[in-house]
Amino acid sequence: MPGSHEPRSTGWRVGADIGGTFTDVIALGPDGEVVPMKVPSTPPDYGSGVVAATTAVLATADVEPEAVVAMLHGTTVATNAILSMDGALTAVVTTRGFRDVLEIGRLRRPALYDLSWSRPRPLARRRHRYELDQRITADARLTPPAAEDEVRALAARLRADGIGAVAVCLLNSYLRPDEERRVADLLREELPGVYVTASVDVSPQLQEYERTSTAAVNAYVGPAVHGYLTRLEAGLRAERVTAPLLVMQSSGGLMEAAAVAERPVQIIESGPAAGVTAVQKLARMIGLSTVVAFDMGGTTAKASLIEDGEPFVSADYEVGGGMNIARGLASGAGYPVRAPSIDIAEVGSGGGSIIAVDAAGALHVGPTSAGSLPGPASYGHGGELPTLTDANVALGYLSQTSLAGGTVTIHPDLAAKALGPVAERLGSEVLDAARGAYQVAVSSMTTAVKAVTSERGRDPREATMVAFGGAGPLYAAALARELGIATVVVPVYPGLFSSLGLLVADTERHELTPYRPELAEVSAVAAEFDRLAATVVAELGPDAVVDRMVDMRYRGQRFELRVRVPDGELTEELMARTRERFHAEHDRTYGRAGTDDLVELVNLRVRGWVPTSVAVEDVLNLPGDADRPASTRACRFETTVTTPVIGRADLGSESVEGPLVIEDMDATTLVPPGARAHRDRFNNIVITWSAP
Amino acid sequence: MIRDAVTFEVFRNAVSGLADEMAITVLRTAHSQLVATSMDFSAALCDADGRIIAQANTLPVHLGSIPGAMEAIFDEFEGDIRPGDVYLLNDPSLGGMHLPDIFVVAPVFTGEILLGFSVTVVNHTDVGGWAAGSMAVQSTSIFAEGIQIPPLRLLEEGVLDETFLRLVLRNVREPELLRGDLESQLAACHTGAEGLRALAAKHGVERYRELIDELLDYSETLFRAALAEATPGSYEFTDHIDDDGLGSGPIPIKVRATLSADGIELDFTGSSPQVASALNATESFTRSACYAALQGVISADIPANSGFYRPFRFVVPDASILNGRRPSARGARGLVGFRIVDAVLGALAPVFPGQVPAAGDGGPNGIAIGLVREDGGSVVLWDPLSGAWGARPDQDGVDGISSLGANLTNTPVEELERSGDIRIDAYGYVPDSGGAGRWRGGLSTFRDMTMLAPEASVQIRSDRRKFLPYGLEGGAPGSPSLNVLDPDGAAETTLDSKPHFVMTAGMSHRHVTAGGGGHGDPFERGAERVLEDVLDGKVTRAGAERDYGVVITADGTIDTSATARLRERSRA
Repeated sequence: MPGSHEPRSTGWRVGADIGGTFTDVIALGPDGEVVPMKVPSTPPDYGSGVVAATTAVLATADVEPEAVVAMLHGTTVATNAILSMDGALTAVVTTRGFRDVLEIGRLRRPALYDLSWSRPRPLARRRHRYELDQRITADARLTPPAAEDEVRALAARLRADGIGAVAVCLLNSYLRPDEERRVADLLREELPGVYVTASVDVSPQLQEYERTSTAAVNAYVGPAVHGYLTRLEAGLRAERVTAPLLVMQSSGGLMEAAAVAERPVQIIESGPAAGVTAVQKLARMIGLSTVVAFDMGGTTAKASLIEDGEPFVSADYEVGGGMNIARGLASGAGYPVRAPSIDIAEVGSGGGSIIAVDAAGALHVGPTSAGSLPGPASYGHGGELPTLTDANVALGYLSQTSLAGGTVTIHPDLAAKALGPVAERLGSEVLDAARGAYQVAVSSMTTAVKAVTSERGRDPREATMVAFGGAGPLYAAALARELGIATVVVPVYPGLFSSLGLLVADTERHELTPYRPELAEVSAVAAEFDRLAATVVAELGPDAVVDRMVDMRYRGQRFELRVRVPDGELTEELMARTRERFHAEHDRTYGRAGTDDLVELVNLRVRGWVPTSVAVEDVLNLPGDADRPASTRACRFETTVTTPVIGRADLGSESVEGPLVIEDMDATTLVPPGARAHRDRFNNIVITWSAP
Repeated sequence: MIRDAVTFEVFRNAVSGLADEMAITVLRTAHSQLVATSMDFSAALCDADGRIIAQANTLPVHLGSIPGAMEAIFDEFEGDIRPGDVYLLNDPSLGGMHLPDIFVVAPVFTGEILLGFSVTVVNHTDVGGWAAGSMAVQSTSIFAEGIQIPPLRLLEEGVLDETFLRLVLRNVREPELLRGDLESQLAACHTGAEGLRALAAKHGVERYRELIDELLDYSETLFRAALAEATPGSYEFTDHIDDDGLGSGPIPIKVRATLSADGIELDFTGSSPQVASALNATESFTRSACYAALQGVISADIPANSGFYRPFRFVVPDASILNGRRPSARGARGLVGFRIVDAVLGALAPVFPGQVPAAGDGGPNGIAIGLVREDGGSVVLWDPLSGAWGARPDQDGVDGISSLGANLTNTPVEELERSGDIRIDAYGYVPDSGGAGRWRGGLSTFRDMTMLAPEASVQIRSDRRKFLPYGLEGGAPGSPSLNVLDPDGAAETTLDSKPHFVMTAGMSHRHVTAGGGGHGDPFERGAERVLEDVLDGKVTRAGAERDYGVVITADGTIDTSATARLRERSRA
């Protein structure tokens, strides 16, 4: 907390995470001082909110803006451009005969029997998808190469059409990146100010639709992201914050703003990734090997798995398609993106999820949400439909007066009123209906956790759950119980945890080469790894640590598994050990393994990273709020129980029996009857269930 | 009825999630392109009586066939179903559909108590027979189509029957793929079994059974409520398959749908007798197609289980195209399923005018390319192509999409080309192929291919060449499908819709799927919408004038007065 001495002059880091409703900003001082602030987001120009909040937080901390050495940012600007479909007027340039690849996609629909379904609007309309008389063959020959004058003539057309962004994706370009880059460079030369993406620069892999889509997403959001970051940097400069701006990538590492502007497709899942990164660091700090990160906010609940200190990173996902669950089955709902992203499974259960009863008497929670407006009925902003938050108010789990440090007033009577019709339809009391909704939400959230654990051959019972997000700590203990997870950790500032993740994240870069026949020789693989490593070191500097990984699969499989290449000189023996790791991982994930002759090498990957200079212990070991008077509340579980309501600081290191409600400024933790809770030396709330 | 809404919802979430989990296991571990990429497989969970509890988000026409397979399993093994058993079948007259679809059924026990069954169906790449891919239309007997597997134990109390498996593998073209895909099925059955056991343990066996009853009742209740909103009566429709691929046709599929307080009866009396070629379906498959059609019309939200099936009654003539007799061939029966969907939807269009779309492409067209390597090994490249959905009562049809009865993906061009055997020269939409209407039918797609390998046999299953996808309420039909050799070349030749032919290096071929039918009077389509389609090249200027009476100028604007004159004249 700020002292009364001279303004501090150096060593401050600021993390700013934009959400749909709130922007969270946290400043971290050189001696571990932390100053958090939550301000309303400022759409459409989210950047001005960040600048204002940064200025405010620095003033509160009594710090000169020049003292900031790093400005770290998690942003939804890329995702928002897709969700609201207001990205750039985008063109696709491709091989003669293939202009419809982007729109036809893979022909599948996400819901089996929904005849009213329509495909999401393509990011480049058909009239803006252009063909060139060129061809790259499957054996990497140019028959013919693109003619320079044809490309220049095309540029004139693009200019005339008012195109703002271009995705160049030639068939088989993964085999001849040089040809695609040549076309892209010619277009850049002809079209200054137009945002041009070559598909091989964002996704150099086989499969034309997925690569084209990734390039189209990159182009579509590119100008918006570029403009946003430029304005934000200027705004910060004007307030004398001159520190470099780093942005969180979907993969969980930070990247400089200038590089992000070239590959914005890598920051689509920026916000969620920051939270998982915080959990990853927390897990390392307190020595947890297998962790389920559980993040629940206003509209969704998300789960991801961290094993041996590393989150799972998936190679592709869909943006703009709603819930990211049952991946691979429900494809077609959004825009495929092939860029490294922390593997996060999502279900439509959040505080704002609406509770309803259908014609045959079944109870549903979500996926429709009351959103931030009108919001839950109990907020008194005119919402009339009951939400999970209303159920939690009725059950006594949430404060009966106010939330979010007093910024939101709670009206318990409106919660009960909204729940009335649901209870009536179920033929039950309001509290039974509310309790039922709570349980249904827990059951639907188990789906998200299973998607990242049991579906991958991991037993959730071997994991510890780390719960965050505004609503996570309210459900975590019940969810853990359902999954057989014995221990739940609720870190400090659970509602601001994603911004804490920004402060402790490493800087990182990813590079990839898809398999080509020339890579059959181990020496060629070694040389390619060296080349990739040199690329990331050039970007990150000599301090970078470089990890080598390969994606492998058995012949005919569609999905790869990623394994680390053991350290050391790349020899036949080392490749053999890598294949062994693949067999072991396959066996672990799917319960069986094949033989060496079936193994295909799909991609070579490197991840380069520069460890953060911040001591994680400083950030994730914070004092809670000031002491608060202890009280009690009637909480409804199986029966109604008078439940102590305390602050985090009131919880001791000796474990106490639930029920218990622990209120932080930004979230409420529920310890149900039968569970126990204590506070560990890092100030985390630790909830434990004894074996069922 | 639902005793406790909370437990019910928790159970419902759990079983539907479990079925999807099985499907994900298949998808992620399968070895063949047809399964891993095209996703031609299904998964479901049944209770101890063989009733479907939950279906994975997979293939509609597979899923509804599962009760038929379960009946065959019970006929063979009832009283002798033991923990650790796994059953296999593909015989169309004993619970199967066509030979490539192999059912793997695993009973699930807790102790001695039978809790239910994990079921997976995978369309295997090849199960032998004379034609690569085992689905040739020209087969005239099941004995030509591949290995027939009656309900048999692959595993007996946990022990694999190696002899059986070796026999199967020796009879197919790509034994390693079949083995790999079969293992995926076993893995998925294991996933399902673990999950069912956990559910029974959680709720207790007694309550678990009650919850299944409640779940099935729930679907039945919702379905009956939706049916009750329709006007009772009998509604007839006849659709056709062009020909049987051996020179005979057309092949009528006639349905009379009767809606009453009792539910819905679908009577196929008057449909074609079974045919000489491999189009003959099974009754289980016919039912399955009907379930899919109704599920599409009624609502996406009713859980698909055996409760949904209860209000149905069927009259399916024996020895008909819908229910062939042994030893009739079945390999291409998928086509009949897709046409049944079209016929049932056609019959229901007047009953549910706000929900039923015009006809789509008529089902995915399968292209199988069989290659023999120098070492004697065989390779089958699969390329399922889909066209379009018909126009809906309130919006255009979807351009380039898999039909309601299926949900197959295309094969990536770069994957197809990678082996060096073929080159794809173009893949895209066909302008003007969507049936004109107030709402336009979806556009068809075409794919041009050049053979690079010295020689290959090519087998295509397509239709909708003569009997086009119908329009509704005055909408025009969609455009026909087409197969052409040497397209746009000197030796351009049109092939049949179901050809089997040899391509040698340098030959090229074009396949065109059918377009979707239109909905409503095309002259009532807003001129602005027509203009947008013209600007996107989805409708040509000539097409706009001819089909919609909208005159678009060369610089891309609407000629309002010329349009008014044209539209006026057509009304007169």
